[in-house]
Amino acid sequence: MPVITQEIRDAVKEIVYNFFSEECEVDRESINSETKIIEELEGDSLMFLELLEIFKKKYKLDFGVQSIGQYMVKHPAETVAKVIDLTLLVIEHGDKITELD
Amino acid sequence: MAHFVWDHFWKRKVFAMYEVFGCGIDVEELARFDKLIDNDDYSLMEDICTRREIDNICGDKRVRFALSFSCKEAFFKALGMSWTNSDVFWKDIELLFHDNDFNHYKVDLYNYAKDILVKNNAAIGETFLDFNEEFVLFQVVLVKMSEVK
Repeated sequence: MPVITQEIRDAVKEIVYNFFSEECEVDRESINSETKIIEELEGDSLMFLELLEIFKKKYKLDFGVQSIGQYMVKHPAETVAKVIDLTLLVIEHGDKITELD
Repeated sequence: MAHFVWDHFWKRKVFAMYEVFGCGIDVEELARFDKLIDNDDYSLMEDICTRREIDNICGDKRVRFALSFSCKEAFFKALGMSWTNSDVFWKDIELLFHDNDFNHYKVDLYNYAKDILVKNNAAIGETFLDFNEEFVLFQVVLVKMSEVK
């Protein structure tokens, strides 16, 4: 699993913002860290699975989506900032994300 | 409405009433599945579909995957849960077709999804699926049996 560098942080942020802008057909400038994925962008499960798939391929990660789901039971990712944080944890820990508190 | 039904556990006929335990409906846009099965790369679908579902795919793959996904979403809704707030996993809900026939299919539940129905004396009441050029739809009604004393 890669160590999270500033370069990775920036890349993840860029991908997440562009992804939601394109998928939800909203201006990138209208999205900020506190934008709510479901309520404001009308995001859904498939969208989130697609996003995970992008990172899985980009960073050659090996994880099961059920691990992410289990982690999200305790740590819901309602906003763009939380999705970015979650993604960084997935990149760093993969399936072991469930072992985090 | 109450009916006489066979109670498999106590091996007796009981007068029971069915009530709706949960219902879920889901609609998916087919175009969204194009990129997910691009170049026969099913990696995302492998994350959410069982091996049997993947092996069962034939005919219009896009429709089949979309229906599998829609079925799982509809069941999540009927159970009042999602994959991010419960112990029900995508692979706990399985949609299998008989050959290439969209009219003949079965849905099986496993693990926690199955446990919820068993604990609540509930079962899959009705399912319905449909699709056209643009969308797929899956609907499920879960029913609960209550004995009338």
